[in-house]
Amino acid sequence: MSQNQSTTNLPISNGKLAMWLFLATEIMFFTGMLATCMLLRESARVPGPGVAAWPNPKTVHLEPWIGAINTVILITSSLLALFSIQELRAGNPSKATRFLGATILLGVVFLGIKATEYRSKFEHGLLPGKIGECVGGLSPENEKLLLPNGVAYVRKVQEKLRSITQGVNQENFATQKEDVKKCYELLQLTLDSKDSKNDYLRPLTPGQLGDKVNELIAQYPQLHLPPAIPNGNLWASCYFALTGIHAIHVICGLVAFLVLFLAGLMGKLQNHFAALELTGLYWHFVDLVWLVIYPILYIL
Amino acid sequence: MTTENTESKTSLVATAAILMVGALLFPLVGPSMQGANKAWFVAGLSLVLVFITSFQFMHLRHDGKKLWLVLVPTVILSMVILAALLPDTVLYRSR
Repeated sequence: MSQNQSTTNLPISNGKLAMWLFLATEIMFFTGMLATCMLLRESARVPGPGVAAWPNPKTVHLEPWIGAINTVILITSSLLALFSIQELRAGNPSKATRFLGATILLGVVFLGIKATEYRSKFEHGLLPGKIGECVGGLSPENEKLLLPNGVAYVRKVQEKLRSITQGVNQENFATQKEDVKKCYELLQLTLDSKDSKNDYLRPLTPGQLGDKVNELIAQYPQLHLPPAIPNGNLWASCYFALTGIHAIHVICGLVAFLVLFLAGLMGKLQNHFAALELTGLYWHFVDLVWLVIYPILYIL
Repeated sequence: MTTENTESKTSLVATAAILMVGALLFPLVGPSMQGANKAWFVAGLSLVLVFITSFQFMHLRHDGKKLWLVLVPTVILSMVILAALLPDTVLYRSR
């Protein structure tokens, strides 16, 4: 190659260009995910007259303020990452390491809050494929379609009610707490039974049981009974796919920052300026994605 | 070490503050809205926040001119992904 041959490089470093190319693929990946979730939401089957087609955040135990706090935490961590880059550029590696440590700490807090939220979903049984979708008011067509789901839901509720009312019988019923009494009564309604007037009482249908369980949850949330949510399984798939993939991105960013932090503790951070800058760029992208995911899941 | 893209700490803190206020507007204003208004509010505000983050934090204010070759096709293709799925939604609703 001759010495005076002009170059056609972009006026940015190769590392930055590579990172932006990677981020471009990430933008399209997340757009695809979000578009799919929006499509599923908008085309969700209307279960019946007066029944919401998509669960609202309250029904699925999503607290908008917790999401907002997580957003603020992520923005602050982005800011601290920028400070770290600035300090290293100014020749203060020890300050840069401290800012990096704070960035990692906030990233861990973000994941901690997310883990608490996930725990609550597990406790309430709000998991893909595990949610009962039958409630009163379903159209006959939907009730027929949801029959396998309804049967599984009834069994799940019975199991939970049996564990709550263990040891309760007709003799000691009067001495039980109010919530246990209600659970015992509901359990009886899910079984074939008879009373003084009727030789046979039909057990509740999945839809009727779903309504009764939802009422009980509103009164006694501490029982952690599995709620009945129309299209809840679709919602759970979208929620876990979006937040789970985002959380994996956060973990990847934290691992990269941790390596740089360790380099900083060993006094070698100044040798890794480009890596810090590129990881910072990736971290801002993770922040940016959350700014889109958060309102779609927690507010809409 | 590069010396490009240096923003003052004050401007960065101001940007972060704007982003935080924007993020807090979601739970403050969002729940009181309904239907299409809510959807437009959420889409509009998140677009503004994404714009601010990319321009200030990701330095697109400086690097945008150099990276348009990467970003313009990405944005167009992202729009295509969104638009390609839209007709089914619209058709389903009109049924």
